[in-house]
Amino acid sequence: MSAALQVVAPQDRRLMLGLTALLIGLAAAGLLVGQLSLNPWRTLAELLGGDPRLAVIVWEIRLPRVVLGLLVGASLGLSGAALQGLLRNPLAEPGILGVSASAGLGAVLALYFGLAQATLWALPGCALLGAFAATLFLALLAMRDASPMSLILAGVAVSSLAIALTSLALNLAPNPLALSEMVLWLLGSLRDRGLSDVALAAPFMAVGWALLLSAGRELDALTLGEDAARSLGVGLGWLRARVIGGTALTVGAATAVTGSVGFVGLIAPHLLRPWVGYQPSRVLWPSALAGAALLAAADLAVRLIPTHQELMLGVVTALLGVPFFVHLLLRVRRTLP
Amino acid sequence: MLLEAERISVSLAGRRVVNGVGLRADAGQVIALLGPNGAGKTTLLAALAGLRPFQGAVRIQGRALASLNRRDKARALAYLPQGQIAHWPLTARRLVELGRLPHLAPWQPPAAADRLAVESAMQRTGVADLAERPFDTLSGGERARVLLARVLAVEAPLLLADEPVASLDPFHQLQVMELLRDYADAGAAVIVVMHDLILAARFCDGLLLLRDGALVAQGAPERVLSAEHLADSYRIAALRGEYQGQHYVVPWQRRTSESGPP
Repeated sequence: MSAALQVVAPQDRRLMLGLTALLIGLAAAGLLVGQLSLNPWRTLAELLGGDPRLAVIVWEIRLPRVVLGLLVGASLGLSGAALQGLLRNPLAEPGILGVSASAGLGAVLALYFGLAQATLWALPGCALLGAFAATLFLALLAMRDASPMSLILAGVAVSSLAIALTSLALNLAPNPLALSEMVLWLLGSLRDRGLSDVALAAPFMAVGWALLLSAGRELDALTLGEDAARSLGVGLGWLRARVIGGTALTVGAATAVTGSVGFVGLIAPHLLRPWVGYQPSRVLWPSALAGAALLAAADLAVRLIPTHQELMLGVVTALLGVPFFVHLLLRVRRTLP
Repeated sequence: MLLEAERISVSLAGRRVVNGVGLRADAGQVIALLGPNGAGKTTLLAALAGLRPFQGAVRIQGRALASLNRRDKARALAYLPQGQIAHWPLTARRLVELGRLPHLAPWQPPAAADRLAVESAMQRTGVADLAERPFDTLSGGERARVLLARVLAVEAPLLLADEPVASLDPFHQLQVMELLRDYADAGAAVIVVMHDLILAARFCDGLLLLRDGALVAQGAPERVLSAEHLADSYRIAALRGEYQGQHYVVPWQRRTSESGPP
C-alpha cells in the first residue's frame, strides 16, 4: 500500500538506484567524452593535471549542456507520465497540449522580429510567453468542461494554430539567414547553451516538477474513472490545473532553452510502466530519471556521431523515437482504451 | 436517519432525468433503486453521491451533503460506479488500496488500520487469492468483486453501489448481496441500483421503483413489486410466490397493449 503514498515506494528503490547510476554514468560521459578525446580516463587525468584549455571545455561548454540535458529530459519524462495519467491515454505526451508548439512559436516570433539579437533573454522569454498563452486557453477550457477527449482536441487545435503561425513566420522570413536560424532553433539542440540558460529554465521547472509530483495519488485514483476518483475526494479541477500548469512550466521552460525535442515524454513513461505495476503515481519519478537518461544519451550520440554539421537533438530523438514508438504500440495494444 | 434525500431533481443537458424523488435510509438498511433502463436510477445514485448537480436536499448523518468538504464527503460515502473501470492494469490489491485514500493526508503513509481494512475487504469479497493479479487478467466476475472490495475498503457509513451484481454468476450474485446485507447489518446504509427483482425482494429492506425519473412506488418489497406496479413501470407480468415466508417475483412475459394479466 505504501507504494501510492510515499515519494518513492520501497519496491521501486532498486529501479530508482539503477536509473540514478545510469544517469551519473551518462553525465560523466557527457563531461569527459567528446570529439577532443574519446577516452574519458585520459580526459579525467588531464583535467586533474590542471590543463586550462580542457577545464574551459569541460566546465564552461560541456557542463551547461549536460545539466540542461538532464533538466529538460527529466521535465519531458515527468510531464509525459503525469499527462498520460491525467488523460488516461498512453498516447498523450507534453506536445499533445500544444504547449511546446506554442513555445516554439514564441521563440520563432522573437527571431522574426529581431528581438533575439537585442537581449539574451528575449528568445526564451518569448517562448515562455507562448507556452503560458496556450496554457491559459487550456486552463479556461479545463475549468468549463474537461473530458480528456475535449482537452486533447483543444491541445490539437492549439498546436495546429501554433504550427500554422510558425510556418507563416518562416514563409515571410525577412532573409535566408533568419529563416535558417528559425528552422535550426525549431529542430531542438543543446549546443552552445550556457549556465544562464540553466538559470532561466530551472526555477520554472522546479515549480512545475513540484506541481506534477504532487499529483501522484490523485492520478492513481483516476484509474477508477472520474466519478470514482471524485467520490474518493479528488478535486478534478484542481488536479487538472496542477498537471496542465506543471506541464506548461516544465515543458515551456524546456522548449524555451532547447527548442522542440519530441518523443522523450511519450517514451519514458512507457518504458517504466511495466516496472512499477502500471501505477500512475509510481511512474512519475522513474519517468523523470528515464527522460533525463534518454536525453543525455541522445545528446552524447549527437556529439559523437561524426557528421560535417552536428546533428540536431530533436531530429535524433524523433528518428530514434518513431520506430520505438511503433514497437511499443504493437506491444501495448491490448492495454489501449 | 443515516441518509435523507428530499425532492431530488437532476437535469442533464437540459432534460430532467430525475424528478422530485425523496428517499430515506437508516443504518442497517439495504435499499434498492429499481426501474427500467433510462428511469434515472444511475443519475439519482450519482446525485446522492454528490457527483451531479441537483435540486433538493441530501443529508448524511444529519449534515447537508453540500456543506461537507471533499474529504469528509469521501469518508461519509463510498460510491461504486456502473461498469468495471480500471484504466491501467494495476494489481487487485493496488486497486483495493485506493479505497483508503480518503483516510490519508497527502503524503501520509498508510497505517495498520488501512492495511487491515484492505485485507478484510479482499477476504470478504473472496479476492484475497487474486491480490497480485493484474486487473486485465481477471474475469468479469473477479473484476466486479475486486472493485466491490475497493468500496468496502472505504469503510463509509453510506455505500452507494450501481449494479454491483450485473455481470456475476448466481453464486457470486448471492455472495455480493449477502455482503451488502452484512455491511448494512454492521451499521451502515446501502443503496443499490439493480435489475434483479428476485434478489431485490430477498435481500432489501425497502425498494424504490422509478419510471421516467419519477417515483412509482416506495416501501416494502411485496408492496412495491405488485402486479400493477410491475406493469406500470417495467411493462412486464411476473409470476409470484412465497418460499420460507419470503415473497418472490419472477419476470415472466412482456405486457403489450393486447395481452391481459397472466
